[in-house]
Amino acid sequence: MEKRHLDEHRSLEIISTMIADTSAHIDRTSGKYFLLWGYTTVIVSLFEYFAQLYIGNIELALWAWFLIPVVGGIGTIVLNRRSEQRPKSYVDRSISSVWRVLGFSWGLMFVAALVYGANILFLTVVLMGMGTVISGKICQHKILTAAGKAAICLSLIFPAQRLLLREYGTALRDSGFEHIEALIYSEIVIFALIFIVMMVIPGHILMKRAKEQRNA
Amino acid sequence: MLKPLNPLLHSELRLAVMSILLGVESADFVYIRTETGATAGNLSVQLDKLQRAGYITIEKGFNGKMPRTTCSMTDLGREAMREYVEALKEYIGGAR
Repeated sequence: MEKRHLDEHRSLEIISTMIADTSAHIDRTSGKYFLLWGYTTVIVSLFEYFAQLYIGNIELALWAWFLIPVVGGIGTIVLNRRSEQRPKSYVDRSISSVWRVLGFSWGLMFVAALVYGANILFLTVVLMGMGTVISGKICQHKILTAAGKAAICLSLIFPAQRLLLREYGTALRDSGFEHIEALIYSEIVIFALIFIVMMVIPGHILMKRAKEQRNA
Repeated sequence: MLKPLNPLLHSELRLAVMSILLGVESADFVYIRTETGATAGNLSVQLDKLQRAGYITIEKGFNGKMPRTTCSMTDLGREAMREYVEALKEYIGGAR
C-alpha cells in the first residue's frame, strides 16, 4: 500500500475502497457458482432434448441428466479449493448452508419423483428458484431475488404444458401434426431457458458488477 | 473539541486491514496482502500491533501441507473502528 499523508478524506477513501473490494470479491465468487451450475444445466438439458428426440435409446439419454450433479459437484469442489484464500463472510456462509440443504432436499425429491412419477423438472425449478430468492435476500441482490421469483412463476409452464398436451395431444396427432414428440420434449428446452433466466444471466450480472466495483 | 483519532488505526495499512476485516468473518493473510499491496514483512508487523491491541485475532494453521494464517476482527476492534469513523465524521464536518 502506497505511503502518503493520511488525512481524514484519505482515511474514508481507504475504508470505503477496502469494503467495496471485499464485497466485489464475494460477488465475483458467487457469480462463478451461478455460472457453473447454470451453464452445466443448460448444456446438459439441450443435449438431453436432442438425444431424446433423435437417439432411439431414451434410457441411455436419461443417464446424461446425472452429468449435472457430477459436473456441478466437481466444479464446486474446484471453485471452493481455488477460493480458499478469499475472505469468509457470514453472508456467503449462510448462502452455502442454504444450497447444501437444498441440494440434499433435491436428492430426496428426485428419489420421490422416481417412485411417485412426479415431474422432476418442475420440482427442480421450484426448489432452485427458492434457493436463488433466498440467496438474493441474504446478500441483498435484487437481481437474484427477481430471477428466483421469475423462475418460480415460470415453473407453472410445466403443469400447464402437460395439461394442454393431455387435453389436445390426441386431437393434434389425429389432425396430422407430425412434431408431437418435439412438443412433449420441449419441456426440457423450457427447463434450460428458465435456468438461463435464473442462473446464467444473474451470474453474468454479478461478475460484471464485481468487475465494475473493483475498477471504480 | 474534536476527538483525537486513534493512532493505532490512523495508519494506511492498519486501517486497510481493519476495513477488510470489518465486513467479513475472517480473511486469509495472502488475501489481505494482495488487497493492500503490502509486503509480507510489513503486514506481519502491523497485524501483530493490531493483535496486541486486542483488535484482531490471528489463527495459524494448515491448509493441507501449506501453512495458513487467518485474521478476524474482535468486538473491541469493531468498537474501535466505530469510534474512529465517528471521529472522522466530526473532522470532516468541522472542516466544512
